Amino acid sequence: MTGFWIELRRSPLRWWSIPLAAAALSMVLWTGGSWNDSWPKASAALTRANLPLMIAALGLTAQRVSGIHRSRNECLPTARSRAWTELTSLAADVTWLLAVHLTVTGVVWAMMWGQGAPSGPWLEYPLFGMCGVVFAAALGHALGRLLPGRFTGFLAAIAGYVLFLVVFPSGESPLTATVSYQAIDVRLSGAHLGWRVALTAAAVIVAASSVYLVTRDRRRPVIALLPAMAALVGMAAMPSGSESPLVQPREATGRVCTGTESGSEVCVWPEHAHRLSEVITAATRVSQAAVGVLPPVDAYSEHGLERGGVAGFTLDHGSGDLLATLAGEHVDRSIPFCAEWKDEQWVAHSSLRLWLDARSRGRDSLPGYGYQSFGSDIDYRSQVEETLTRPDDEQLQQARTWVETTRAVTC
Amino acid sequence: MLNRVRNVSIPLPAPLRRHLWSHSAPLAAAVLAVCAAALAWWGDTVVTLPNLSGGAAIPVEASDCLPVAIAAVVLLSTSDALGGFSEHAARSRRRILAIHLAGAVTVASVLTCLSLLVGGAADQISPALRNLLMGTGLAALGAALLGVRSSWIVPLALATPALTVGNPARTSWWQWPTAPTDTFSWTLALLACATGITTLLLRTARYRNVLC
Repeated sequence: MTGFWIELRRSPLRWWSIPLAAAALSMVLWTGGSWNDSWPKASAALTRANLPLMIAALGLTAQRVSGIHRSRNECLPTARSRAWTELTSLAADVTWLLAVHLTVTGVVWAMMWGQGAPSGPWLEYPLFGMCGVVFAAALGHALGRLLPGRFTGFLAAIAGYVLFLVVFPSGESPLTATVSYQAIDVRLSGAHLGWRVALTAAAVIVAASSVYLVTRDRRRPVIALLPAMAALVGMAAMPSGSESPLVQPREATGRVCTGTESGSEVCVWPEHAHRLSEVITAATRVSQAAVGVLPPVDAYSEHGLERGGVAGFTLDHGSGDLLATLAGEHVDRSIPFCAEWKDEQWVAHSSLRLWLDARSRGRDSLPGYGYQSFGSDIDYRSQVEETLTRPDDEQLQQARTWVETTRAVTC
Repeated sequence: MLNRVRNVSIPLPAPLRRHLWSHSAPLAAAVLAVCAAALAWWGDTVVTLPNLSGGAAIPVEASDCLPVAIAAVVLLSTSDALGGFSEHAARSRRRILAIHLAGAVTVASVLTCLSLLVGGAADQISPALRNLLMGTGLAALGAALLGVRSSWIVPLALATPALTVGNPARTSWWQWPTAPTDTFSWTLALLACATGITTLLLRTARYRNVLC
């Protein structure tokens, strides 16, 4: 351990950890909108700290190791093997970087616990972040050892930008820097996390063995090439691309439900239990807007909890989206989709959803965002917009017409 | 080492030849050439980067970023492999550094313009030169504060927010690599360049006191 403590004290990352902590904390707290709504959002926000940490890990570790090489310090006689010495050096650098990551994690968790957010932290997200930092540091260490020079740190940092912003696109590769998309109904893919851990372990072995690739001992390089080959093969074989997203639908193991005044039940994920009152208010507005057109529904469920995870309201995208998805949920539960519907039914169904959304917002014009059309290419928005300008009685009459049109074809 | 220097047959004055050799100029030139080739090849390429702030993806032109890298190479080229030896040189280090920087910035500017002309992205010359000056100033400031070997950290760190959390629809002053070229952005770049280089020159001792 003595060697480790010595390396820990002489690592320049000791001083860089202070500005890095400030940068990482800024990325979590002051970018990306509201991150403290729920533990899933806070967990994903933590990964935003990874990008500065990973690029810095790559560049600064490469610079440090190339500096050691240039000073010929690696030739010092030691009782340990050279790989062990390399590991000790890498461990010291990684310790400072992980200290930054864990500090940011601790601050975020403390803030979440402080505001009494229900449920608890998702531990695989800090693991995801720590793996990324270790991977980048190991890669930088290997680069610094293999290509020592005054440009090494700079070129490694440039490589970091290219790798983590362009080559490993956010949301599609196990080696990406951040989890860009996080809704409550998805969670980090176990397969991607497994690949990330495995490739990180391979990168650490490559960093430890890279010293043998620059040695004059001709017997070693062939063996030392094996971890590098394994890492390259692993990177080529890892799941990546738009068909293999970094997050996957989450299994619903629990829910928190309560009843509304109209007798409907509202269910949300356990992490959103503190936002039930917000949903009840919105659900009441939607059910009141539907009076005289559609019957009250038995239940409203948050996205991912029911019906194969493809329907339900969402709480992650603001109050307007909550009303829109609740209106859609109300219409979909009252008039289930039918595969035999023609354009006429699809248009009526979509018009009803849009009209109910606008009515529940108390508007006499369309909500200001693009509305998705289901099953038909016909633009129905102008008719809905025109309907919203009429007196209430005529609006209800038109809405009932839409209901009759959709119910004319049943499955 | 000295024999190798003497054997080099470059048609340059001996002091300049020795200066370039001691500063590993061929390596710096090679890195610069790679950057210039990339600028010629991808000068008009737009890369869409993920926006970590959750907004719209950030379109970034390679001609906005590569000059910053070239600026970092310019500053890195000022370090020599002679360590403390050069501190006892016969001529003022400050003067040598000023001449080196002037030459390197000129070469970098010409290379940047030529690369963009060859690559068919002549309309990008103005923002590229602005970013080259801004990057040089920030790198010089980094060299003054952190040392020449770590000088690249400052321009790269200060360019990162524009590439990761910037609003592409409404650029602000801190998004200097991707900001449109106007009088304000040029003033900022010239100011940064002048401040950085002046600070570096003032920070560099003219002569090291050999008696210390």
